[in-house]
Amino acid sequence: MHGFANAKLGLWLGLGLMVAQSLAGSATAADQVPVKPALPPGYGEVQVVVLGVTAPFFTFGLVKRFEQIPGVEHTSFNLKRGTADVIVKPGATVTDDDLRHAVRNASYSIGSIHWIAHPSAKAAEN
Amino acid sequence: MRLIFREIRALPTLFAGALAVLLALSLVAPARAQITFPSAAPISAGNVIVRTQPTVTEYSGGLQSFYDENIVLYGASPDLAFILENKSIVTNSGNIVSNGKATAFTATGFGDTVLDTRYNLYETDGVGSTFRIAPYIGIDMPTGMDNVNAEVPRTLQPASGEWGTREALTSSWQTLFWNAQALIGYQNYAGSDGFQTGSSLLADAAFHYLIWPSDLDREVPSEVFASLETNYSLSAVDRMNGMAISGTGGQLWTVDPGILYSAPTWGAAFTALLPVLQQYRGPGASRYDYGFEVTFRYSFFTYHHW
Repeated sequence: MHGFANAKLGLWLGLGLMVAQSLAGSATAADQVPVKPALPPGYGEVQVVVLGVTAPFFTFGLVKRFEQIPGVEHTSFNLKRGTADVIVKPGATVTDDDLRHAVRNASYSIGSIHWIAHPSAKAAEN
Repeated sequence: MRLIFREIRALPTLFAGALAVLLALSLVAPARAQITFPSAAPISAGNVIVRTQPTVTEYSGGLQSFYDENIVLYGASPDLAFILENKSIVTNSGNIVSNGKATAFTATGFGDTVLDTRYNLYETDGVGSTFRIAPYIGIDMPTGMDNVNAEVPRTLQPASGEWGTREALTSSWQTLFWNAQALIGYQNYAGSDGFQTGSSLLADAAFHYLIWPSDLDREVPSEVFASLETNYSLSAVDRMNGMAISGTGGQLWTVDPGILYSAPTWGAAFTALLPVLQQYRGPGASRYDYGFEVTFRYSFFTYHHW
């Protein structure tokens, strides 16, 4: 029973360290001025306004749903603006319907879809 | 799934008891804190959330209860979710007084399992907000050990041995800075070996307030919430062979302050369970003093869904 108690204590100490590490890492990131890297040549970018997302925990399923779409390279989410920034690989064909479907599968509602840059087929050949 | 709903039900389930045994042993089933119902919060199709939730409760007379409840939530579709809850370990310990002599006891084993189905009935979403209503229906399955220690009353065994059903209506209103939830539910048990746990009416509410970070205009890696919950249950008396068991049933109202850390794939929470009101039917109840619950959850994704 003593060993069990020690094991549980160790588990929760470990969890505490994970939280502390995560908080420390986040604070460092928050202190930095966010600089959006330039989109590599040929890549596409689309901004999707998603309704109903309220916390980082709920972005997980949404981001996974976007990244399930063939050709999607990366997705990030801004909670305050409710916008998903979806980066599309060169040459990929991602439609608005794909994006709508991903949002609904994540159990949220679509606001709007705005293509900032469409992926280029030519760059994919390079 | 930080917005998993918290419910405290008064009680009788594992701790009500066989009348004759209770009289002989001078030990009556205690009220029990249990947090089970998930909220109406969104879960993506294919998303799996695993929670483990160890809870310790102390009762008057030196009785202590520990259980670790494991919960698996699965988003079968954008609107349909299945929730499997199992108490992987339950330990009840204390002293049994018989003929003026106190004897220490421990009853440890597997607990019961509940399978819930949740359907997202109503949803209205905005930028950084959502309001949802979702009914639940669930089955309590007697998968645990209801006779691990022959010296201990059945009510203090790790599992109840009863089939049961539960129905609930939950709602959640979530924004970027706070979340409010409410639940009303009903639990009913089929009885087993002459013993029947009294049915319960449940009413819960919760409020979570964001305390960190303040700036959400970026990709937020994690959040910390202060939480305050309240859980009320009104229960019918437990019965053995049709006879009411004194000290069971009645009402329990708790207020539960806590703190919650939440990241996209994992989270942890600590909640204190503090009784505000306890009224049981008849003398002999072990009164609920306080409880603590810690929660750890992990979220992962499968691409299998309806």
